[in-house]
Amino acid sequence: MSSERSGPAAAARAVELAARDSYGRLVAWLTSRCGDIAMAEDAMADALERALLTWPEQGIPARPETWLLTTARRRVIDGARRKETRTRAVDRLRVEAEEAVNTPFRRALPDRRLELMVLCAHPDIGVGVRTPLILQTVLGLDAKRIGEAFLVAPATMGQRLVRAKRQIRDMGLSLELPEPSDLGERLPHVLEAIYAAYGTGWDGAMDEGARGLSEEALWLARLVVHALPEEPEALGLLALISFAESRRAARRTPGGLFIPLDEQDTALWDHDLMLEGEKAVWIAAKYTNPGRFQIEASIQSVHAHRARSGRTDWPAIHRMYATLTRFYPSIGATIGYAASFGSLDRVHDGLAVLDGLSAEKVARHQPYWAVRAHLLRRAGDVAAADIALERAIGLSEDPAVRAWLLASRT
Amino acid sequence: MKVMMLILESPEDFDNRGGGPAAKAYWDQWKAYSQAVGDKVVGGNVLDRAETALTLRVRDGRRDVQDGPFADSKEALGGYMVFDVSSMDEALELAASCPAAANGAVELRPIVPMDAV
Repeated sequence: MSSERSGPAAAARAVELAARDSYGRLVAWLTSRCGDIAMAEDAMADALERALLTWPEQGIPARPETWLLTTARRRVIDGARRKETRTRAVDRLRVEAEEAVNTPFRRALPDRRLELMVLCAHPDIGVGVRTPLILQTVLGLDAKRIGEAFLVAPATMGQRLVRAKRQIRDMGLSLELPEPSDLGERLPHVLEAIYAAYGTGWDGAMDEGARGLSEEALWLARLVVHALPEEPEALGLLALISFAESRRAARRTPGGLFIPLDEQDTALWDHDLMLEGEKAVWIAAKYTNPGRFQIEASIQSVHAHRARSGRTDWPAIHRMYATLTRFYPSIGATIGYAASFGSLDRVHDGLAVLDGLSAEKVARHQPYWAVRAHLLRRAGDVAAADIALERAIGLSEDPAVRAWLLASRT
Repeated sequence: MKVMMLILESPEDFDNRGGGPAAKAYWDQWKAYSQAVGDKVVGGNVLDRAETALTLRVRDGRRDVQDGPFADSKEALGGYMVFDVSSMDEALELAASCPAAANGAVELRPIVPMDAV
């Protein structure tokens, strides 16, 4: 018993557990006080390191999160004192540190993670670094992991993160949540950033096996809905990710071969996640304020329905893609729209939609070539289909998808 | 910038080159890959198996000739490509769908422009 509660392994586990839920909470709170994300993160890293050193010897504190908070806060005060800057922030921090000693953790530490995400997705911060910033500050992921997901060298990703944090500090951007009227403008950036995290590791073929940071994205989407339970697009994003995640186990054979969405065994779909998606879609619909993520989630909801009905309502999917491309045009939406024509045996209409995309933008876009090959083959143009398929194979990153496409050749 | 991609292939992939049902898939994926990278590739070659390599060192006027490659590792250099790209990010993007990345490894190295030396 005692070894379970005190050994280095138990201490490491306690640190990990305390960190998983509290990391972003603590970084957000510290940032709100010192205005410097990097300083807040350094303090947290230091507190976690100390926890790993002292907890095995002194035992795990009764309130690990409070311990981390107190330790990290002290680091911020020390750090700021050394630099002799931001004295007012430090004074406030010190007062709060004393006040908070006997306050329960959750009350002492209001959840500012949504504010932190809104800050990271600030319009002045480059689009490409918003998602990495959120992943690092809220979840504590390191630059290597983030760089791998976005296919950027770890050192390069590290530099981009450091620069962005310095930019936030130097611009004096505040962690305050914008007015509700402005939040409407800022929130889409946060949702896009979370969706970009979900998109990492996706490779072609409409419903492919997101490894990447899909679990992290689901977690962040839940966090936003928890903070803003009445925001339809946040619910839409959560639903979209839940539906896609629900199919994870069905995307591969036990031997690792790729299985496309229409051929997946619905018994392998995760029903809890589907239910979570369905619920979010329904709550969002109550507000009759549709958006991109809600429509995409609705499309996934129709696919999910096959688990009960045994069939897919392709005309409904086609209508939804038509709406999506009309109001929220994107390459992905257009490719989905084109593919949905194929499901209605209107392959030439589908090809016409694909032809409308700029050749330059789709030159290295794997799903475009996969769908194009599929439609051309059904149209009977075997030679052109083979050329498109060849391109799709050459652009596939996932070996399972590559093998599946290779095997699909005539 | 020019970037060289060193293609390190697994022993299985070297075996796949030779023939049998796996050979067609092996060569087809490479053909598809090189067509997909298209005009970003400005050079490259496929190298024969590592066993065919000869390694030569001259030390104190004495020659040392070895059968086999310089580095003895599981993965062996199976070829290279030279990309003309705007950044290492772009080179990484091109390398990600390289068939060898999934079974072996690829190494990306910026080529030093000779007018800069």
